[in-house]
Amino acid sequence: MTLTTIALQNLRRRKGRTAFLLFTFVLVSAIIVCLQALAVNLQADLQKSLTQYGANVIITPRSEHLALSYGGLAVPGLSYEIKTLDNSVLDIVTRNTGSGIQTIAPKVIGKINFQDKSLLVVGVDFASELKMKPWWKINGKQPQAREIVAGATVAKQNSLAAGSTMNLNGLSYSVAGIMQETGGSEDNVIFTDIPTARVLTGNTDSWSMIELNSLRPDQTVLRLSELLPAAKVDAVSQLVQGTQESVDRFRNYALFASLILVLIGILIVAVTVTANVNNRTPEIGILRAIGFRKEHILGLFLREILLLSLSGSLAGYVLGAIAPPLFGHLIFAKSFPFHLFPGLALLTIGASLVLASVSVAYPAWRAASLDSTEAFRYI
Amino acid sequence: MSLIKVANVNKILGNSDATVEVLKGINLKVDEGEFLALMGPSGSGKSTLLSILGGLNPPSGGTVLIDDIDVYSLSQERRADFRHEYIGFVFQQYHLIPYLTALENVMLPLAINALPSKQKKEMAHDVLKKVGLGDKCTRLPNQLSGGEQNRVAIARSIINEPSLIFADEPTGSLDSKTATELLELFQTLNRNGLTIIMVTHNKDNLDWVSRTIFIRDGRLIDPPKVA
Amino acid sequence: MRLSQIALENLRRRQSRSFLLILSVFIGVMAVVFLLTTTTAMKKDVADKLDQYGSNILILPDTGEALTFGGITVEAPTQIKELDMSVLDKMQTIQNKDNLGTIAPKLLADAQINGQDVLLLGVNFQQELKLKKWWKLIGTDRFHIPTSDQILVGSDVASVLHLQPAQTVNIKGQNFHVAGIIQPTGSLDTDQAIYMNLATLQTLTNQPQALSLVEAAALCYTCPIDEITRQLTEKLPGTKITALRATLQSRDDTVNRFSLFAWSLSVILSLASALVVTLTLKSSVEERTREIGLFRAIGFRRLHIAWIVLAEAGLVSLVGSVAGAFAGMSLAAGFGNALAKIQVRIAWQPNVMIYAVGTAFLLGLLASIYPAWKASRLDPVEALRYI
Repeated sequence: MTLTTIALQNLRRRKGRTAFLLFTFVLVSAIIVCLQALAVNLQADLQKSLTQYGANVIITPRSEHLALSYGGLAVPGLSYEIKTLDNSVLDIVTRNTGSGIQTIAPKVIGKINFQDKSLLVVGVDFASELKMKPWWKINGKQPQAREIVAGATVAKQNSLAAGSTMNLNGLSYSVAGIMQETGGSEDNVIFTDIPTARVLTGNTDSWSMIELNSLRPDQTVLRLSELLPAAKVDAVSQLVQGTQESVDRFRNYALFASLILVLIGILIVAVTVTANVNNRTPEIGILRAIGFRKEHILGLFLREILLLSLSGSLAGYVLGAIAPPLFGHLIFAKSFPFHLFPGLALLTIGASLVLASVSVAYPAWRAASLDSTEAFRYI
Repeated sequence: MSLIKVANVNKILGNSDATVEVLKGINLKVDEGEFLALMGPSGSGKSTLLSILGGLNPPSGGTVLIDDIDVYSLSQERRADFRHEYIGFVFQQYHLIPYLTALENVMLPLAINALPSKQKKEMAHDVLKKVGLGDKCTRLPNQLSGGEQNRVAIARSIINEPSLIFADEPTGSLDSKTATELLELFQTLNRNGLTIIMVTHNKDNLDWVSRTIFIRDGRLIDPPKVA
Repeated sequence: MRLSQIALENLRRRQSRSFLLILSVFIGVMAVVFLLTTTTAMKKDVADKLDQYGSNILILPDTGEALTFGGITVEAPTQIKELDMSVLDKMQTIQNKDNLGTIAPKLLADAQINGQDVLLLGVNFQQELKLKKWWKLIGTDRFHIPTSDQILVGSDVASVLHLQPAQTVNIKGQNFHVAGIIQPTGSLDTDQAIYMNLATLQTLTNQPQALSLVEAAALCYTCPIDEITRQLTEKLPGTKITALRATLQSRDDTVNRFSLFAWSLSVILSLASALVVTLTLKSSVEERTREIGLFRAIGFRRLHIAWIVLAEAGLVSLVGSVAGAFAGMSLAAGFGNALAKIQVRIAWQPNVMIYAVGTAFLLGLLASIYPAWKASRLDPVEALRYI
């Protein structure tokens, strides 16, 4: 018989208490790890979805003249020079997607007359555009050749609906769909596919602008600026910065929540362990009467609690790490990849060992400092 | 040569506004090899005196010398070592550890000795046999009768081969047959050189002891006249 | 001696045990109340910050828009209608005016500088800088509001006109200092304009009350944006008011993710706290199996025992949860803002407190009655042997 034997027998024979303590450790560490797994996953998710959202890099022709428009308004009475990007630009971009380019959306923009008014025609690759711009909602179907999609304002002004026809340049085009109001310049234009736009605008071999979506917009801008000296390549900082800010904010939020949770976990473990030791004051009195030194008592209680906290936090870590991949899809309608979090595992287990030792040591020391006759009174 | 010398021991219990003087100026000498009974009505302070003698409960004043060692001048830790080495204690409520078997309870004092595990087990077995419980080694305290628990407590108090045993009402909850067996056991141990001090309020027990001292209202008194 | 007195005495005599029991309940309830309150506030804070990150409402004259797409202008109208300053006052008359976070009015004008036609934008710098949080300025910082003789220059303008910070430029006969250059933003609207004080530009172009357009950021946490645009349309005849769907969608996406996280956090924490309260009280009753055996031995009926245990558990969970709810709420209201780094003020929410206290109280009772019932079914002798 040694102190270890006593510790083991206590854990073995008082199953209820052992289970309760063990459960506390499992619960606290499982929650902390599980929350971390959730936070890491949701943050990655947020980053991914925000990055994929909108055109974050834009390639426009370099011009000696400055544009005189803002927010859809333009200074009246001036003539605007229209510059275009060479056809080779798109080839170069398509060949150099290594910097994280996900979607390439080239556009042909031109003017056309319709019932004595000027209309803006934008030729786009609908698949790429819709992938990048989830706020484009087309009532109707995607246009084929010689079909168009009208922006909300254009449709309203000209009483267009899906199925109606427009006579453009002497040819009739059918309206495949109407784009819901976006509040942006989309509302004032008509969209067609690229070949149709080329026919309508007479622009046969160049591009007005190219929008890109890149996972690493800053790198893409650097790389493409080098390759395309004649074009203007810029990151759309509203999107790029906004994504960064949102992701940072989420990280802070998760960190804050974890900190609070860790604090609560510490309190719960400390209270539970302290209560357990307090309830065993008479037992400590017996051991002291038999001649156990304080260090023997501490040694005994530390052995017990270290065993419990080690196994409890280990089990908790495993539970917390596997719960999101196992059950995440039930709650969040998305799957969570499994992460190992080795640092977090070490931290959780280490912290729970230290915390358990500290919260056992103080009440045990205090109880061991009582004279045995006093300790017996705690029954 | 006295093994225990008690000089002017008093004990005051209670808080600042209500105090009770449980022991008043106790002077006592116990020689090695005595089997001493401490007798008195309940509330007379006999259990308190026993715990003070046993190094469990510091007196409010006075000194306790055991083997010329001033017990309460020792630090708490040295006092624990002292108890471990010199003293065996049998409590009125036995105070067995509920989650340890009879054998393990007996072995408990050895848990902090550096002996091979096998030897500890053999020693505990021997002692349990000596108290007549050789067949109940694996029982937990709540599976033992009161008398059996008492005997486990005694076994635990002697396993470390102390020179002194303090027993608080060891026969209090036993029937007369078991009580007799227990006193015989004490007598045997005493004959083998153990000094025993036993608290009791049962006059029948006095036939077994070598000396009796009486205590009443916290003072040692002359033996009452037998009517 | 009444039964409830036994419960009370037990709590009083075993002070440290009672204290730790109450403390467990206290911590559980405090944690839930604090976190629920702060995460709700954080959600609103995130939504507000996103709503004020760029504009989500655009107010334009109802005719005269240019043929322009993605910053590329093909043709300008021959003349445009203008708004005037009264629009700003009228905006403040809508019912949900408190939801209008930032209002950034603008006047467009053109000027010839060194032979180049340049767009001048008259703005309220304070509002503009609040809205365009992604601007990186060279020569000044975001927190310096340019004065009436200072301008901010878009990156393309700066490179075409070779402008440096601190340089002086003559615009329409008046000298302006370049306070800063706006780093490329990828938006032609921003990169190819000169920003100056609105009143200065109005004087310079001799249109004292004129506005071309208004950008606004509405806080949509409590009021849907469609409702705000509807109210604005009602009050502002002759204008075209549109909500910018591009910003809105990503905002919703982000806010949803925060909500999801906050929600799962609350669920996990509430469950955990409920478990802690339940298990603590359960194990505290289990430890008293012997005592219950004693009560049975002296002839108490099961109902008596149930009453003692319930009185005790009820008192413990009530005291712990009320104190916890108050502590959690005061912590949230007092320090939540600073701790979570949010601007939204956290108000006292009595309903959260009531729910938390009610739940803890019920759980406490349920958790203690089961082991008490179990213990009271044991034979007294068996119960007394319980370790």
